[in-house]
Amino acid sequence: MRAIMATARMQIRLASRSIESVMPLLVMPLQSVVALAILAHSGRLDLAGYALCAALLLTVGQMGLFIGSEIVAHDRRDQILELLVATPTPYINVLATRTILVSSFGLAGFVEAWLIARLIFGVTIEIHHSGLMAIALAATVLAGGGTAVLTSALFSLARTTRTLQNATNGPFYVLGGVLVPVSFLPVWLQPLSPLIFFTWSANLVRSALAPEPPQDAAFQLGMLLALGAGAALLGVHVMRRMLDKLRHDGRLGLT
Amino acid sequence: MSAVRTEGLGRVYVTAERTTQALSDVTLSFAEGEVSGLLGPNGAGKTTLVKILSTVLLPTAGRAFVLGHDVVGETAKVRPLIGIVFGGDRGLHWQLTARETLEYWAALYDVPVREVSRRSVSLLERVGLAAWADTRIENYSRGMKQRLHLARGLISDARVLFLDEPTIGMDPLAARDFRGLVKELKAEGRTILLTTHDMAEAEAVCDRVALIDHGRVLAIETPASLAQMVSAYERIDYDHGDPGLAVALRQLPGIAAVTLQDGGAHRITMTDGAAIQSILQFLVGAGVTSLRTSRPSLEEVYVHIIGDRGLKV
Repeated sequence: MRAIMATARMQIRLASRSIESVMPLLVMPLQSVVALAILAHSGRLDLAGYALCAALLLTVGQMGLFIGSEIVAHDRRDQILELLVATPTPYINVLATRTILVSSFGLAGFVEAWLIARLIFGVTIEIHHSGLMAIALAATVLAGGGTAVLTSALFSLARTTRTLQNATNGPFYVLGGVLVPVSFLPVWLQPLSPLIFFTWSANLVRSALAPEPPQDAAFQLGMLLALGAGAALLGVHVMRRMLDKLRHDGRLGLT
Repeated sequence: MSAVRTEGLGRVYVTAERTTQALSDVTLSFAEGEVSGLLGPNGAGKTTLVKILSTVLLPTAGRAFVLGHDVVGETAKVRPLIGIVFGGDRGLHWQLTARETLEYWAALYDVPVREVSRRSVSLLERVGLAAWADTRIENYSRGMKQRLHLARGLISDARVLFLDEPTIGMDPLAARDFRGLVKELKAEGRTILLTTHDMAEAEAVCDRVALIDHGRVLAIETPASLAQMVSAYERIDYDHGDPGLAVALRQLPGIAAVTLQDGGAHRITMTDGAAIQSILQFLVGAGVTSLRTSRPSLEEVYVHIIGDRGLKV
């Protein structure tokens, strides 16, 4: 537990002192302004909640897929991975702590979008089911962090991960219904959406924003957590295999 | 029990371009409390050996043990026992300060909470970074980063220390302080294995030195014993302008060679240690007023055994 707490403190310090590690949070206000301006222009500010949901998932996703997924690659590049692997603390503990924390930083995107809607567009996005929203946000962070463990492990062999990230980033958002509702996707693509944690997270967040009583919230929460846990378990397995391979190949540190 | 032991250790690197035998049939043993040096040219296999012993690289042949634990099969037992310092100015989170860095690594090594602060302060003082403890590493010079690496490697209070080029980037005074630190660590009973190119450093701090080349151990001896591999007896260096004196000396019994050194001095190499007295008397009688006796330095041993390759790897 001490190692996890120390890793969390270290990650917070890194984030607070390196603008690159929180870039999605800095970009999100611009994206929110554009999205809300379009809604305002078309007289549909009643859909501001959807923009809020998209802002949340985009920032959690980008923090996880971009920042979190680069953790192993950066540890290799900076020759820190060898030193970490040689400590008594399993590296997977360090990695999971960092990815979950990085994903949690993405919650700031939710706050940013809410404040922009309120301060710039004069729209108060009401959260009708605050308890469900709190649970949905926590579960989204866990799922995002768990998924980032997997992607970080998968990207660990690459010298530069950015191309892979750019290639995989978009499909996640499209299939998860973040950018457009899943019902707008081609029918043959729609069966893939339940496999993306964004789908269930979006459903939960939208349910928490809607005045109607939530439908199937427990099932959706279960699916969200199951997908996050599944990705994390797979990530742990892949990371162990990757570390074994890197130790075997002598490539834990990049020269 | 040996602190470090290897049996037929081998390591082959395979890439698309080439296959490299980095270590081959390395069998050695270093006792607890011993300071040992690995000497060899670039690419000799020194770092490979240290990385295998540190559990971050798997051997392709043989076995290695740290305090009796297999570095492949018992990594969980080995890792709490070892501290490692890899050379260079990477390996640190440059956004953190030195104090934060040590506190972080202390937690990873499960150093007792009440010990962390005291040990961090003590180590930062020990490596001369106390005044920079709360400055971010991004503002450090290369030598300062290397000192921090050293402190980081010591934070776990490990019984066995692997130091790979620990003084690289340090200025001469810092390197001298490092030697003092190694002697203190030895006095505390720690086992230290260090790789270095600095012959003076190895000579000053190492109980034994292993010469490695092309992945093979060529010799493991004390620096003094290694010196005897080059010359069994002391040599005499003298300063005298008359080249005829060298010619006359070569006629004396017990002298193997008289050679002109860089800087103008002559060196007499003997075949018989008993001849030293008569040679000294001869030199004084010939008017030589500046002379000294010496053993071959480790650098001479290195060049003698490894060979002078210049910049070739």
